[in-house]
Amino acid sequence: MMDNKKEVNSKLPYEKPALRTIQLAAEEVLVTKCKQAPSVHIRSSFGCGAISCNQMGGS
Amino acid sequence: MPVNPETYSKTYGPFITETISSGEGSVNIDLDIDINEFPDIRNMTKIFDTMELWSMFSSGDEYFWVDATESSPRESACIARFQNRPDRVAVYCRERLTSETNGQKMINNPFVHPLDQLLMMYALAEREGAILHACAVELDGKGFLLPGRSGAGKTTISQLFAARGHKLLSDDRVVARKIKNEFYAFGTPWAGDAGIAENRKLPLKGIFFIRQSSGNRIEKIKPSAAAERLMPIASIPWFDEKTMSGVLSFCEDLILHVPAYELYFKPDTEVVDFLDKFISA
Repeated sequence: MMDNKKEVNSKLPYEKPALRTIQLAAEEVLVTKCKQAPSVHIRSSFGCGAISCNQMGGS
Repeated sequence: MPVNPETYSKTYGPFITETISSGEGSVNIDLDIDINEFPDIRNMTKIFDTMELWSMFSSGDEYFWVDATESSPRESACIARFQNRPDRVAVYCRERLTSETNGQKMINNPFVHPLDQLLMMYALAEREGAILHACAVELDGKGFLLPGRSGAGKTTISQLFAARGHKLLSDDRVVARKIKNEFYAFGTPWAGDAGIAENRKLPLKGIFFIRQSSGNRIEKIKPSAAAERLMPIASIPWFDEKTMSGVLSFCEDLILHVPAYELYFKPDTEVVDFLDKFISA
């Protein structure tokens, strides 16, 4: 009995599951926009850096 | 047809080497450029459209990345074809991506923004890695990530560390990978406004999610809280279930094995000594 009590006491308290909403930032991490073109040298050398933009005169 | 060196040397600088890496964890992808044919994507399944810059289609087990969208005013100039684990990528380019220098016809490098990052994201998803929106500082030979969304202060904190003589891997995008049960942070060619892009790696020993504040303090956070903060700054293809699962598994592994903290910082040089002292303790 004592052992059982010890085991029960060592368990973490029950936490009720809860849903959390996470605000994602797809436009920042999936390079979905021209303005997200990284690197100073890309922007200065080739416009926004995107393939089509390089060829078509900017974005 | 040779690739015009002007269209890649400035972009990738120190990341260009003459040798092919064959060490532990090396990733080699063959890239074929073709200007003679252009795939017909009209009957393929569209799986994602950024509505501005690019779209993605699938056919069988192949992906077709297109540098245009339905709403885009410009015609596609480039299509990349690859599989889930891209060991070989075929890129089909329109004639207008070619140019002539000193009488020699050359193709402009198509592996620039955003295709390079997309391919890296896919390549890492199957190899225990991910691109993270973070700067990475070196302290005592170890790497520490300081992730944050745009405007969080990555450039500011990078410049503060650089001003105090600390080395950084990147001020904006890093690659995190697990190689032989150890986590590493890698610099990438995709620098932010501070222009820091180092071609090297460091053992990854901590993640400090940054928040600007009126004072400096650090709070240890649980893996569940770290997951909540990691999701928005990790390059995860939410539109592609299979690849997404690979990146999410890596992210879970990362936060369960690398300690994560919240770093509230005042944007002045005091934060450099504050973090250095915390890590040394």
